[in-house]
Amino acid sequence: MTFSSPYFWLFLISTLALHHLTPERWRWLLLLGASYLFYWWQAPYLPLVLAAITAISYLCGIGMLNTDSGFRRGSLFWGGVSSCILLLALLKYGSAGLLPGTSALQTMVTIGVSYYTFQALSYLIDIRLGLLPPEQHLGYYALSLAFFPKLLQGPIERGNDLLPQLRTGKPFDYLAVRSGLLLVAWGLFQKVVIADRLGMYVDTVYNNLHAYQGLPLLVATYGYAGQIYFDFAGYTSMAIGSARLFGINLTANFNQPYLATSIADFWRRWHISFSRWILDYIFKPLQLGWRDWGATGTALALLITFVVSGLWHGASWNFVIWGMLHGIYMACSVWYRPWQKKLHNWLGVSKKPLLKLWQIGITFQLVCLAWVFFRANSLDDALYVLQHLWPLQTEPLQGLLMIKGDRELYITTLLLGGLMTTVLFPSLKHGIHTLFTGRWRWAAYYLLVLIILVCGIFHQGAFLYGRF
Amino acid sequence: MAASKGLGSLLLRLLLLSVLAGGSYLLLLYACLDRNPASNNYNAAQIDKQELLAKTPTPRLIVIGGSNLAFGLDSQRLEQALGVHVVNLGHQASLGLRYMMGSVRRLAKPGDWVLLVPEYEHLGQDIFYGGSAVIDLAGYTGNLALLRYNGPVGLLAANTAIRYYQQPFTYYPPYTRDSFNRYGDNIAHLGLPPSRIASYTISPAVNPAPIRAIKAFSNECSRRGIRLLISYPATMRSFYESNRTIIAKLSGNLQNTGVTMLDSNPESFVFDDRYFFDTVYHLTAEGRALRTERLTRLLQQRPELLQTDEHRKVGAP
Repeated sequence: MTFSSPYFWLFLISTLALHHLTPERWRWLLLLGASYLFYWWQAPYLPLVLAAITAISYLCGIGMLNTDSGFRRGSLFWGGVSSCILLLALLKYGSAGLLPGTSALQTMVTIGVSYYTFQALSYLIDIRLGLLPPEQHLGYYALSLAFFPKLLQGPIERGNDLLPQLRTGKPFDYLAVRSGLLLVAWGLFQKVVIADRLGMYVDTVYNNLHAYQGLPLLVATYGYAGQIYFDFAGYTSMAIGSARLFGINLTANFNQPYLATSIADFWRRWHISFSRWILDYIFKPLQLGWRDWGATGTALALLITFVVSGLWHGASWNFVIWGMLHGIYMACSVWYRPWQKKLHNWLGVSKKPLLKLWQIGITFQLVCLAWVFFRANSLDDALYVLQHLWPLQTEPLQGLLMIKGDRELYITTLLLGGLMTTVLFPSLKHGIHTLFTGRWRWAAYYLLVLIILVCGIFHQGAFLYGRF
Repeated sequence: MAASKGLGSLLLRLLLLSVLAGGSYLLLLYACLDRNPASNNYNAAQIDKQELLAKTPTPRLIVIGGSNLAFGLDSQRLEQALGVHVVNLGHQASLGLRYMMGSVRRLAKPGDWVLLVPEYEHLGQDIFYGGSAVIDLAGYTGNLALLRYNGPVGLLAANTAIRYYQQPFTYYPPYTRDSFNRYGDNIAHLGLPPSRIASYTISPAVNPAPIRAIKAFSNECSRRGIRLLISYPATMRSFYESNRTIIAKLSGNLQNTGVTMLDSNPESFVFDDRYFFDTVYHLTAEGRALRTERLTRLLQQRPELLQTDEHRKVGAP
């Protein structure tokens, strides 16, 4: 049951109705039950994994609260953290067939595991650092990990953000529910109309690379940049919208990442909850440890942080190189930054509006270069793409367009063009927003739903980030 | 009280919106249906296959699955080797596993064998519910009740009126209704040169619904004296290699259904890339011969699978 499945919509609406009919003090129980049911639907054994991570982190957290012994607190902390990491590594790499003696795990699906494990880890670390008191109510804590809108792909919530919201009951708020439903519809539009349509081109090229060179490879790589953004941002919109129906605000995960003017800026705008997590829990401790090394220590900490981020996505050289590339970009920027302003002044471009456009363009190209490794089916495939991008031959591209039909291309181009126009002209975006809140809003809802039904591609199913 | 009133009003409006938008979508879909029963569209061959099954006497080996079977099985050879009537209902993946099992459920009789060969996508993704092929069939037969196999997921998976608007009205072999022989095998591709094949990776999703449906189908077959067997689809080596992990997951789920598997290893039906015609599932003439031989050998190695009282009556081995 993915977010783009009609069964999910039925599940969501039924849970919403039951939630508002249930007395406030029992709503957490309803949401917890619904979340476990939703997870069971993905695979029957998954709720057991979720329950295990919940039990380990909850008991270690409570144990740390109830002891004055520093040694015991430390043991509980490290015991909890290492148990969660071991369980995650066992499932993630065992199911991918990368650990010896784990053939039984290879038939397992591990969707969602890394997201709530990261949340459990941040909970334990925050308690250890004194940033968060342990949650004593097992039900609220279990719900904070299991809450179904963010269970499969995040956002990775912090205890401080989510737990207080679960404790306070929310009366029915028509406007919040309406905006939540609109976000769900908007996310669905991004996923099934834009991302999956782009995916048709990307998959055709990337799954049969040796038949293409030049322009088709370039178009497919840019297409993938669009596909992964709209797929993941679509999911996040649906997650935030679904949570808002229950009066819960989740962390925003995207902020127009392809308009970033540097790689550091990109990571402030892309998968924000994950970037915050790796920066707070991996980069900062490393940087602190190596602070005596100055810029070299910071660069090294960034490099290691992003390699770990690559490994989190999967134990393959493709992801390691993807992470390493971002680490190298960030490390280089540590040394380049002090010179950047001087260089701009020397070139006389520091106040030119084109500078920002240039920076956005360069950042986008660097991100796309890394996406090649992220998307390619193997390291050899990624190297093939890079070696055959030039010269920009167009003949196979015409063949590709023939495969998919010209009308499909027109629809995709039209939709992407429309979306880019709203980014360039904020007044247009405001106009569209007014359309969905003004007098004729129900006609706008009807059109949006009909466009999704008519132009959507519903057989692609899974969201790209679900596998991480 | 005010809250439940506000919620009630919102739910009512949502229901109205769903009915209006869903109704408009279905109307659009209906308006774009091709209602010509004599159409030479590939999907219309399902009508002929159902007729073939209805007129073939029991006991029969009924083979169901996607185009993997249509392009990759020599039923005549299998029939000669086993001494039992073979009907190849294998046709098109987007008919969906639900329709495939549902249609054979109607026509299979005690003493028949049903060999189910699902393609991997049937086990992991929403294609289990079928898609455009069932909608095509509903148009050609005028039987809109067929759409029940699609369900809401399949109706959306049909990818809408736009797809129908795009459909060409001329069809080329082997994607035509008249490409099939009297056993239900597609033979129009046997003399054609193979084309460039775009391999791909299967979505990592695993859908529990097909496994539940196969179990239910198996129970019904047992009750009615029909023997259900399962085999793996023939796939291209490079496709198998790049999907090894997910195929292992899906095949593990298939084995957990408890239905007799002809072979426990999906690799038994993995063939070199040169034996494929135009997709990772469509075999060439040589590949088809190899697959038929392998399937025949597996069935002959386990004669108990094909031994029933009805079978002995017709004097088959």
